Amino acid sequence: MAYAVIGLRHAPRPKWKLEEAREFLNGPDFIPAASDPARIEFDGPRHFKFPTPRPGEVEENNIVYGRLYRCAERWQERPVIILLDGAFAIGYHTALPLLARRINQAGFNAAALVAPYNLERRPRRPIEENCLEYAREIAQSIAEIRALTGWLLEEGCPSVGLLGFSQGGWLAGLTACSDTRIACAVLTVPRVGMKCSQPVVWRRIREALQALRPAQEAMDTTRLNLMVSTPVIPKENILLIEGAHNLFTGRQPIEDLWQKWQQPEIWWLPHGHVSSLFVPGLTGRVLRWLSPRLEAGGKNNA
Amino acid sequence: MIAPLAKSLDWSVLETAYAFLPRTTDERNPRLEEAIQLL
Repeated sequence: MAYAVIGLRHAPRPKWKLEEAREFLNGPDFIPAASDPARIEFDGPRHFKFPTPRPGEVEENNIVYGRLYRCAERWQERPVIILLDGAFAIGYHTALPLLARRINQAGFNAAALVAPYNLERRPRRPIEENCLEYAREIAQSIAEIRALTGWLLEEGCPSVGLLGFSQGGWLAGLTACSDTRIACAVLTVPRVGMKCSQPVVWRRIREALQALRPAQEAMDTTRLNLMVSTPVIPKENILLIEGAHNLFTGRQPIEDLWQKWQQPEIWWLPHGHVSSLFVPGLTGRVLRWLSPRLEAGGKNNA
Repeated sequence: MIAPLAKSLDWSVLETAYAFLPRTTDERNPRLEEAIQLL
């Protein structure tokens, strides 16, 4: 994301580690074929943690924290929806618990993860920020989603779907392009790639974004850009939800993605990026879309 | 939702988020950097 590498504006180009990032993103290590199930330990009925499958030098970031909102009865016999948060884990303590309750009422389990370098995973000291570290952070996110998926399936849950918002929508898309075990994915107002053309009034930020544009464009030639990736799940199991007035990404990237992905189902909302997240009745509609796909996913996995 | 309202909500959130971004290293007080290192 733009803000993740914004501190590089005046740094000499070698410090951006752009070439190293591109090499990593284009190599097999970005999203390996194999994924081991997470080694989950519960701390109470809902909160869990597990060691990240991609440990790094920042110790705080090597433990993944999450919550499992189980169905009232026989949770292992019911599908799971993994909720993927937006930037800064803004919904982890706020909207996601409410959404999880609604999902439980619909008869599904819900799970949420704290993304790398968010909340308790962020150290209280400055960390190195460059293109390579950012690419690794995304790889780590995907690896953790896949590890949790593996654990849930191993526990007996019949199927796992992804429901992502904003940055989480991007991660849901990247995971759906790499793991056939995902039954279905809903990408709500997702980011599509690195490049952003957002309106910014602050001069220092505008200049920083301008200076970083070559890096964003270079990163967008890799699999970080959803348009460069191809889903490994059927397009009938992918739902795009976009706000017609979204100022965060604009309309064009999602329209291009829709074409590139062979026109999966898309819902255009008369909303912006933020207001799309609070549309009355949307949760029920999404659950009605997810339900047959999760149930069918269970039959396929049986 | 009315388009201007949706857009102004997006715009406000974006500008607020950008306003709170940490300043780049070169804009920080170097003595503060040293102090952080020391601590």
